[in-house]
Amino acid sequence: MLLDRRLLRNLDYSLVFAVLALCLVGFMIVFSATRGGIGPGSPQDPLYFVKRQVAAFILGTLACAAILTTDYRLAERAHQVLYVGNVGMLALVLVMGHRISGAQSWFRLGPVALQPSELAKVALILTLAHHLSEAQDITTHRGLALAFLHAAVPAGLVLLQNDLGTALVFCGITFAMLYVAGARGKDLLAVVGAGALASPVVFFFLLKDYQRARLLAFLNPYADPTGTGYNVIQSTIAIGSGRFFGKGLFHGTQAQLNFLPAHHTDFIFSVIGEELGFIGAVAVLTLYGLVLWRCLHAAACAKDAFGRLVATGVAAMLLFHVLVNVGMTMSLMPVTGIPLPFLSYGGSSLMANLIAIGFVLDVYMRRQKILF
Amino acid sequence: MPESPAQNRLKQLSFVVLAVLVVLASRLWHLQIMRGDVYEALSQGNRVRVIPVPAPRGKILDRHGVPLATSRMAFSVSIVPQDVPDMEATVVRLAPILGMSPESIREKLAAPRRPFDPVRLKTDVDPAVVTAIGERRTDLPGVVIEEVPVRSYVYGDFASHLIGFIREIDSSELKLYRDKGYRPGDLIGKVGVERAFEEYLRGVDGGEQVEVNSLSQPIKVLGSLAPIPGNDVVLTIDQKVQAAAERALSEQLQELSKSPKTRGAKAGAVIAMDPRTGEILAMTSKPSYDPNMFVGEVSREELNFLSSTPSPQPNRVTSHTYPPGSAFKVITALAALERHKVTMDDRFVCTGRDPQSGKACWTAERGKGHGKQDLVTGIANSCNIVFYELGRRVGIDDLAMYARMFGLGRPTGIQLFPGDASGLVPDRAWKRLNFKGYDQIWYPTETLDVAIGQGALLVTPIQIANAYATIAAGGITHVPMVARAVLAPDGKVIREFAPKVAGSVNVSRGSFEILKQGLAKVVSEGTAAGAFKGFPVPAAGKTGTAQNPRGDSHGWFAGFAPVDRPEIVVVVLVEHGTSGSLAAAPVARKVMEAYFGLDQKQPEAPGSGTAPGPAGDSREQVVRPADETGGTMPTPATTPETKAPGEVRGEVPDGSGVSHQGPGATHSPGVGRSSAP
Repeated sequence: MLLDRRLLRNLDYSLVFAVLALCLVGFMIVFSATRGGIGPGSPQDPLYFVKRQVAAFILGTLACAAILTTDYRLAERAHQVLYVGNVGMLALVLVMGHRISGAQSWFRLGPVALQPSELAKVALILTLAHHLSEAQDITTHRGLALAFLHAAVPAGLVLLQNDLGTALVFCGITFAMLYVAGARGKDLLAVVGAGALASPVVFFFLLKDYQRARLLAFLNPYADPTGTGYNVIQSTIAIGSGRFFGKGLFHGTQAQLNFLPAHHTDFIFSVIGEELGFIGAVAVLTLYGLVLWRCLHAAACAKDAFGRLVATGVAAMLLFHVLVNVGMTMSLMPVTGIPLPFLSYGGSSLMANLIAIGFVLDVYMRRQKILF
Repeated sequence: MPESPAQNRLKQLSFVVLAVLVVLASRLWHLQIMRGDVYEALSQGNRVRVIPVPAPRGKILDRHGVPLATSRMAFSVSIVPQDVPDMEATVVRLAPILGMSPESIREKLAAPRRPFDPVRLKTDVDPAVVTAIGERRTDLPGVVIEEVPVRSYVYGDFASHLIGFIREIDSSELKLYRDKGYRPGDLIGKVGVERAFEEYLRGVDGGEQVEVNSLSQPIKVLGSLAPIPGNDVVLTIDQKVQAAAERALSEQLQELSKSPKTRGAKAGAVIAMDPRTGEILAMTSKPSYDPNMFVGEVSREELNFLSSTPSPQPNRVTSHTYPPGSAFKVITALAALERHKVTMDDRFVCTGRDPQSGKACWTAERGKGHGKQDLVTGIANSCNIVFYELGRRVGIDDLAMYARMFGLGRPTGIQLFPGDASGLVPDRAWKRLNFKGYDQIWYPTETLDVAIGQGALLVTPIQIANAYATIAAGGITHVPMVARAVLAPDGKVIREFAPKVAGSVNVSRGSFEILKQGLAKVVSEGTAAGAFKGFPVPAAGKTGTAQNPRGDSHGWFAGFAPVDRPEIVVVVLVEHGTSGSLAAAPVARKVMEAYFGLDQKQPEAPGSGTAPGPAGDSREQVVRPADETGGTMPTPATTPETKAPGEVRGEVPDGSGVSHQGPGATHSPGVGRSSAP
């Protein structure tokens, strides 16, 4: 038997529970948000989106199980394949990818659209963890620069797809992993400072018009309430109107009546806030807290640097997603189209996250150095 | 166990996680707990939409309850911009169906409005248009057909200036009426009774509260509020007298314009009033328009017509001022009598010219004068020589004072919109205030001009009617009134308008008696004798031929009947009619005939909606032979293009010929009347 009983005993069941709970909530909310259609041309089957989400969940869980059967260090050994494959995929999607709402980040495979940038995050975590766990000295400027360069190639390709949000996630992951790997705090701060100084240049010369509009809409959503600010206003109304107990599942008027755009994907947290209220929303945040705590705990218990950095990277990725996505629905963050882990409708994202959790579980399960 | 640096940093990271979650949770607390009520209200606003259901406007009825203006249901085409995915395509598709230009549709869409309100593009469209839009339903998302009440003026071009019309409220009115709950797109009375009684006629719009989805498609009706119809206004107008006035004036103008001498006679005004109360029985101004043209879009031809000359727009009864000519001589005569400047023993000799000033009498062109006259014959002949002399004796100061005492020089206060004009009573003070240098001097000839109603003197027909009503009523002046009552939709009287005495003039009974003798003589053997030949009711009046700088003289007639107990005052003005006797007096006679029921009427068998009066009505229906008046079939409408109602009243007052339908007439509003066209 590949999966040793003793190993299974070391599985982090609270992490499994939290992730399963989030996925179940996700199914429920996706159903609530899509059962009446999501606007003109939506599929007839009220379960269409849920079925696809469940299918992605099953595939993701199988992948997760496959990871658990093998030692995560196998992935370390395959780091070159992973990195080249990752960069290759991202480059390929730029050339022959499918464009959905302004971002060229999808591969169309029959009825399934695959978003390589979701998997790219996990791939980056794995390759960067290997890069940093090798004897590279990231306290030197050269070492630090090499580490950033490692992340910058895939991040740059994602940026070329017009997917600013995901590129920012790459940054978040990289910073967290560098920090845990032992980079000097002041070096990291200096990089952040340089980024801040460069931001006007980025804002005026590198961003696309719609990205600029989104950022401006974040600063004042009511400047253009029917245009760029619309999503944020509608989402804030949806969450606020949920009040303490929410309007009840399937009873969120904002979402059910389609006032809220993209409410099954990027703005799913608004539906949670509206239908499940403060109680439900805080419960979901608590589940995320549990997941993040267990990830960081796995990192702390990991038997090697690679495992520690993988778990750290996954935690950083999830944290960044939660912060930016949930913040965006409450107009704390600018609108960037990044999904809420385990909850947002989207197969690529769900599978990528389940694979990531698979690695964290594996790191934790194989934390003891000597097995009997 | 000592912590490695990595573990330390992981601990720090977990504090970051905690901080992020706390920030997010506090934002949730802020939105959902602290400001939850605000957002809940906002989400309700998103979901619940109120679709206004317009209230039908109150009816306008004549004094006996005959409907003059009603509401009917019509289809209107609106667009809900929120529901239209491609506005440009929709506009281009819709324009030919509605027969509108795409620009005019865009213009309407650009007008300010409340969000989610449908924008009304066209009202009162053909059923064919409704069908056409229905067939292209899927091509025209967001285009909705509503059934709305629209105004219907039953008799068309009938008392149009008095009744007025309604149109969409404009931005300046919106500012003025904002407190009263008017919104862009609402209809409002623009002129006449429609405006003056707007507060009664306008109902309270109802609404349907519907839950909508993001495409504004109604999902379910949450509640509805029935509209409250407006109240009905009962006018003082007598439909029968009004119809006679309309018809008589129109026919007269048509007749006059055929003759080369009176070709310029294209406009005129008639007002009939009850001197006992100030109630206006008829008021017409020609040329006029059919107010129904304002219900939908006003066509280019209609706009051209409205801006043609003489303009059909102003109410010549109240808004235009004219020199009164000889119609003013009653004031000169009363002033002279009251100031004891003349007695019935005084004799005047008219040779055609005033010996002192050299001014001519109107007979001068025929090369002879009126000869020897006293005051009464002077009035009957309208002899200028007599009135020059009287004017000289009285002087401008007293002349102006008496003119003002009879209401000239200021608005009468009639409740119409726009209000009536002031006119002008010239005197020394007026000259001082309005001129400079030598022009300030009041010359004696100016007094003579005023004495015969010329010079700078200007009056409105309603002022002359009011002055003659004061004479007829023996010195009591009323505020002219157009409405008797306001009725709730169920017929209950909400408000009654009592006659309002404006004051009484300080003129002795004797002076009035002498004046009335003169006025009666005008009709019996003077300047109006021809027009009133064979008129069975003893009538009194005065003709006037007013010279004016715009062209041929205006023709006036002002009179009342019966002489001893006057019930009706009629004033007729025919612009450029050249003669009061020929142009104006015959019209006045026809109006009086209608009032006294002398215009032979036959019950019309087919389509007659006439029912006998209420049970208490003791009057008999008398059918008279048609040949007495030449056998013309009278209809209430006046011009061929108006909608002739299928109603001709079968009742004629009893044989005495002087019975009338006064204010105490026994008809209750709406009973036994039908106005179906």
